[in-house]
Amino acid sequence: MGAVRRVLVIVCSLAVTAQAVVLCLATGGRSFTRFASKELAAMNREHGLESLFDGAGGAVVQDLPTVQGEFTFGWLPAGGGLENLSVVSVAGPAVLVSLLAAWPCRRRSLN
Amino acid sequence: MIPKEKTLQTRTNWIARTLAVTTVCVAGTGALAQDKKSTAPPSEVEPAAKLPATAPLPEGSKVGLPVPAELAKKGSVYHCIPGKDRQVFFQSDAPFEKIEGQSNAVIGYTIAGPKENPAALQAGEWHLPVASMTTGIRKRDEHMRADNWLGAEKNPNIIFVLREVQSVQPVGNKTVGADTLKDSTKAYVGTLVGDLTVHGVTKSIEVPEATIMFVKGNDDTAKIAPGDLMAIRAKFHVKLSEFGVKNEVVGRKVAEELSIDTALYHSTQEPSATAGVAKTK
Repeated sequence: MGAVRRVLVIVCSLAVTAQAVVLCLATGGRSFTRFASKELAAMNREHGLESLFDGAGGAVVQDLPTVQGEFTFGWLPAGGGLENLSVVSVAGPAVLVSLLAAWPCRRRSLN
Repeated sequence: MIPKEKTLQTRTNWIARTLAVTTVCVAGTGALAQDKKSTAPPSEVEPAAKLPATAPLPEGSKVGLPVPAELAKKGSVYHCIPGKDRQVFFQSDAPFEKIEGQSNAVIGYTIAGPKENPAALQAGEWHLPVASMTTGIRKRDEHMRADNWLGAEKNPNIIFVLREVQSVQPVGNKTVGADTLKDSTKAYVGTLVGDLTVHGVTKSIEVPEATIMFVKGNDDTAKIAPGDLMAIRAKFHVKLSEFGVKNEVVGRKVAEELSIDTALYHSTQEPSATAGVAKTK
């Protein structure tokens, strides 16, 4: 492989890897990929019941924790289908390509 | 000057490498597509996956659990309000991140205590459909419902039957509490005692420091839910092995103990339809 092509392959692979990592961090940096869930979004929407009991009778109770239903590009694949996309599954092949391109290739002596 | 043969050999090596990488990528993409395809025909997937990925109740669902007549005589009946705010949040430790999930599909009822101490609940029963529990990750939900976990097909509900509430105490300090009790809201703390059924196994449990709140219905509250309202907030832990949930993952990759946080909202308004769940008593 020519030196220029080799450098291009490495640069492109690193760009893919860097973008995958940035996307992961920008969407929360969670371990596993998840896609926006309509069911979770509907559950997490304010229906007003919780607020009716805020401070009821002087009781101080914390709100029920929430499972976030937004898209998260995770470090690891979460399972089948689209949830297989992750930093590891996207950047992995890119890193592999760049390693192959960077692999020192000795030229045999002509003698 | 490199001879033609040598150049050809170098190119062949490069092409072979490129092909190898491409094959790996294509195989990966193929696996993705195959996985997607395999979820399409329901007849080809394993039984647990036949259940819908999530089955939350649609907003405004009016389903409930039938109240046995002998219990209804004991006091005011409060019916659980499903399909609105989330009612159950559960959490378990796993190696890379905590597994979290929730549901808003709990149905059930409770019978309030006497007027002077309504939080001394006379009875209660709640059903949490396993298929409604969602973590936001489809594959994880399928695993959770599989036979070696909660076994949703054989045991579709997690059931709690309340026997009594012990150590009931009004909330708030004495001066504030006295005024508060005159208000349209009341709150108490007590220990719920009852039987929890998970994975078909029933165990007696105690849930200390449960908060039981009452709100008298008025025009403002009626906009959100009709009737007098009641909420039970409770936190407790469930040891999976005690309920027969045993597999190679429990206790190693996933913590054996499940932390559960509940907020069950009730109304005296009777739901218009029952969910057809068989009475346990």
